[in-house]
Amino acid sequence: MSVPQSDAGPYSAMLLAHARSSRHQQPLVHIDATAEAVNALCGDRITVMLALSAGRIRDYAFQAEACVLTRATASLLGDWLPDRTVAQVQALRAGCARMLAGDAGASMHLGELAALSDLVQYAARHACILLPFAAVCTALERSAHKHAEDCR
Amino acid sequence: MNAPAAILAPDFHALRARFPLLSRRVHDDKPLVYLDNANTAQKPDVVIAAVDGFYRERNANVSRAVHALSEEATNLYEGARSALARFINAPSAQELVLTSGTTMATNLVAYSYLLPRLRPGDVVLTTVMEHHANIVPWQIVAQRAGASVRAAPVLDNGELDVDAFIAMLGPQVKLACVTHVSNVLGTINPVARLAAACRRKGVPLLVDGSQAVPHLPVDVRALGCDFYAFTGHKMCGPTGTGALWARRGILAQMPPFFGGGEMIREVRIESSTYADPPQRFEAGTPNIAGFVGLAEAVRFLEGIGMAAIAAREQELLRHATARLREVPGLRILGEAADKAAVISFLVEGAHAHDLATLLDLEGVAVRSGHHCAHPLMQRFGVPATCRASFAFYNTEAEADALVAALRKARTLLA
Repeated sequence: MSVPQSDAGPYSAMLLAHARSSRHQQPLVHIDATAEAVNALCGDRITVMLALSAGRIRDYAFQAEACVLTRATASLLGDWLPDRTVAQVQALRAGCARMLAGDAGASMHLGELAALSDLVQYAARHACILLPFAAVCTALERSAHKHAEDCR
Repeated sequence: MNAPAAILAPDFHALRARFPLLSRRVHDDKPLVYLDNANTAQKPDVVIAAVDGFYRERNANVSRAVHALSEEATNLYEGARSALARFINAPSAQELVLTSGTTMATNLVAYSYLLPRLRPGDVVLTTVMEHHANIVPWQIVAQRAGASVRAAPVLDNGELDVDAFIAMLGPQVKLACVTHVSNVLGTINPVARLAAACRRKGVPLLVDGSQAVPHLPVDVRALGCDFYAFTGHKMCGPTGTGALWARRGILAQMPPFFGGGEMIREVRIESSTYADPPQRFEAGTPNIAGFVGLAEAVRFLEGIGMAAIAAREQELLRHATARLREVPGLRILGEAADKAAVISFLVEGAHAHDLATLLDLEGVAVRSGHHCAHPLMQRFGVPATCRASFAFYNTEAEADALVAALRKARTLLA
């Protein structure tokens, strides 16, 4: 039995494919920053690993025990992150949050992540979508903090 | 000899029609299948009318003014206390402290009863299957006193390891706490046996009755516990209502938890004296309309009969369990011999939240997540489950709708 897309709700073929793929899940050999984020609603957890140089993200990997929406977002994020700066990542996170809050214009610069705009109506699941962003931003903040400490 | 009068079984189909919300349609006009009763129950017309009628005709504060409205409101509020006492067969309505729910009740016991008695090295005994409301309050006061919280284990089938619980009742245990019915597993714990063991060891027992009072006949005298906490909104009453029952002698020893109006005898700037229980623990204006509605819920449930409700829900549990077992890859968490109509399940290859979202799109409302029971999730090594929880107004057809929706969701996700 196949399920028509009209009955699949937030689970588009694209998101399901990302959630099922193993892309960006090979642990990095060199890790400059890492962080775990936990969804308090369901106990889902994601750990992200970042390799950084010259203020840019060079490589990214994640490991997740999580739902389709978290895993798909983490995979989409992996396609977007290489060569991005900290400021760009923070702007992306804010843009995604605004998009999910209903600001249609916010999706303009999100690339393939703009597909997440289909999930605006599933407000109870927004925490699932934003979980990988939280982990990446926490890892970057820790890295910045460590760098500041090292420079003292 | 006259033939015994025929005992008519309640007409559950007709009773279902008394719940306006159950005729709602959701998501492209699909009929709502409400299977989230362990989260909160729906409200019958009489409860809705009682709350509405209170605000239309009787709204006034309680126990303060001498005018007619205040007297009527006070009588209704105290009538709710009496109704709740009768419902759980408490010896006296004065042993019922009206609270906002179970969480406030357990916190009241934690701060007012337990904290003054705790010493470094003491232990609060609970179980791995508890709701956070029966764990976290004990942790907070135990940390303040240098005491600790320990938890009796749960067996693989979801039953409490009763022997372990009893063996853990050492001399350092100052309070034991157990749920009557697990909100995740549906396990009905043998409270009377646990209470007897606690009495032998001189340990007071608190029972979380949130999931029991709406579904089983509860008799606190027969159970033999010392505290019984429960909530109103799971038993067809309004949210923000509940109660703590405790023996009169225990309540009399407890100092106030909240201070304010209504709970005092005399106030001077230097110090105050306090009212007798239960008013000592009811500072401030209570949820009067809520308790008026809850009293109506009690009368509604009494009219059906709790034994009949329990029997009907067992029929639903048997049917739903059998049907769910037909779903490939589905595993039920909690298969205690004595179990209420709560079914937690996992489906191989499908996350609980994803399943619940797809079930919702078919009109089937279940809860997914950790159900405020992290230690139990850790015990079974899962982050989350889906939970279908039934009430007497549910039907076998609704269990079938759950199964059909699950099969469809599984096709997409698994």
